[in-house]
Amino acid sequence: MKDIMVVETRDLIEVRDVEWGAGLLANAQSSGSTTCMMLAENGVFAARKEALASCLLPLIDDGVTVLADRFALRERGIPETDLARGVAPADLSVVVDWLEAGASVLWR
Amino acid sequence: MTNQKTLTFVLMDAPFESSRTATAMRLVDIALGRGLNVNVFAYEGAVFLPFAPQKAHPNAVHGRDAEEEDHPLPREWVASLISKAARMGVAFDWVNCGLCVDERGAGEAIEGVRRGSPADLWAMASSSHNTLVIPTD
Repeated sequence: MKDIMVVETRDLIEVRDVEWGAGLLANAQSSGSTTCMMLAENGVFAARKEALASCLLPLIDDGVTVLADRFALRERGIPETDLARGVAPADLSVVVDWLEAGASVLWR
Repeated sequence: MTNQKTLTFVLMDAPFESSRTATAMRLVDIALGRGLNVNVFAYEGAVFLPFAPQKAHPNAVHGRDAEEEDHPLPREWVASLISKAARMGVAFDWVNCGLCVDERGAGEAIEGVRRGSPADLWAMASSSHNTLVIPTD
């Protein structure tokens, strides 16, 4: 199976169908794909310790890489130290890394 | 150093509306900086991104004139990407969907942008290493 990245730009608490992307990644991960959820723009709001979206925790526990765009964090005044366990800060260039590697990248 | 891979980005959002525009421009900038060839297919409202008549404006609330306000213009971002591609020696092809242009009267694009059709999108995606579609929310 192809490796899959979902770029989630919406606030995971505000938009319910974010769970669709989480479900897709969970299934792909269990099927042997390498998977990643890249939180960008307002998607980074739900990566905070105090506000971690309920659909993210199982992903992290299942081994899906969950990243938060440093630029979006800075814009929104969220220190990297406020990120929840298992969420790592990353530069947007990671999206180009995945595109170059031939992965399927879905923008949400 | 150039990289022979080509990435295609498909943009849909109109300017001045969504964070997606800035994020998309950042991605294209990163790709060009790596020496990748880049295609952009702009459709629906995104055909206004390189619209030549865009003008910066003053902001009375801030008490600033147009120069002081330094309002960002997407056409300048597109022009900057075109220049960067030339500096990097990589191919950069920005195609505005002609159907979308005609619907909106958006024909006055900056130099370096060409008019095309969905067939161009097919050709771009078919010949690219990878394609990223950035739709409206």
